[in-house]
Amino acid sequence: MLSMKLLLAASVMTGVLVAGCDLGFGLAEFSDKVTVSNIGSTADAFVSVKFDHGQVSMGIEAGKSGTAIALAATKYTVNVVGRGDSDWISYKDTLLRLREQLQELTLSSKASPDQVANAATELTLVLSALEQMNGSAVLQSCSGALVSGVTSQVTVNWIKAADGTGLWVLDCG
Amino acid sequence: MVTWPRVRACAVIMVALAVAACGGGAAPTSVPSASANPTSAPVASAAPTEAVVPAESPTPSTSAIPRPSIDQAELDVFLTSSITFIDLADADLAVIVSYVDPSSDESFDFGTYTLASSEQMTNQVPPGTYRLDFRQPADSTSESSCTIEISDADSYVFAAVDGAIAISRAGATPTDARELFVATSTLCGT
Repeated sequence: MLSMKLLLAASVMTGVLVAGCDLGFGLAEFSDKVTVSNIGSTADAFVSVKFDHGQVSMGIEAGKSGTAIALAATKYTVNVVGRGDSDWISYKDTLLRLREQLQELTLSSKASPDQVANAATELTLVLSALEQMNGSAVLQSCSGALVSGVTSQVTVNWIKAADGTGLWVLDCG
Repeated sequence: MVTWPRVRACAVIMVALAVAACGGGAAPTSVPSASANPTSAPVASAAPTEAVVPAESPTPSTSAIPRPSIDQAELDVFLTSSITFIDLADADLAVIVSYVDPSSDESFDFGTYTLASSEQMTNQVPPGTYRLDFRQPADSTSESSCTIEISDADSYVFAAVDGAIAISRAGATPTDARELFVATSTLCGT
């Protein structure tokens, strides 16, 4: 008897072919969305939506929204950080540094092995930089469960205090 | 045109879905929690995310097709590798992801993911051969392609800068700039 694991392996390995099948099944039947709306009017947000097997990070301007899609996921966690926060600035600096290194390499035909190695290292460090930011103490988050056929709605709102500080208020429904 | 690999793949998926939905004697749930969903593969969840996902991204169906309910731990066993896309360019980036059937070299579109500048997307995927077509800007008709063979525990990162796509595999340390870019890297098989 075929084991469940074997069948699952076969289905996952060939799962990407679903889009090419005319069997009534498709990505639509297996994907779920999370739409994050920045309902404030002043602060831009940087949002990470984590799923069981993936993650999407995006900037959302005040008054705008962004959508993340999950496959084979049951729950999600939304992390938000303001674009003025030191953690975001540090992460952004990592991206800018990588961008500069890569662009320099595209223009130079005589890059040294060290330059190339450093750029490759920076590429992989971007992931850890994002993880570090997502582990920040100032980061705020909320979690929710995905429901089949329903786009989960999440709101983030920057509430400014009288003393000039503020706080992100999240609602995962 | 219907080809054998496609028929075979569809058959496997059908069987898997049917079995998964009935696994353990449990009735199919309307709340697909961790679907065994084959499609979860690549990008997916990659997450396909979001903002990342727009273009031709799959639209969740409002019709409740019962999905197989499978423990996430089961999927974890197979989704052992990962692909990350980062858009460091000024323009949006579109990535068309296809799975390549090793027995026929035929590829099947999995989906198109669109990332805005500074956006990042990571998806755990099963090992296999994938073809990635990058378009900068996203609505461009020209594209650069990369076919990668992803092994168990591999982690690939693709970063778009203006006019080029960088590629990196965790653990690999290139010393030649040509190895860093999709257009010339040997990591891209074809």
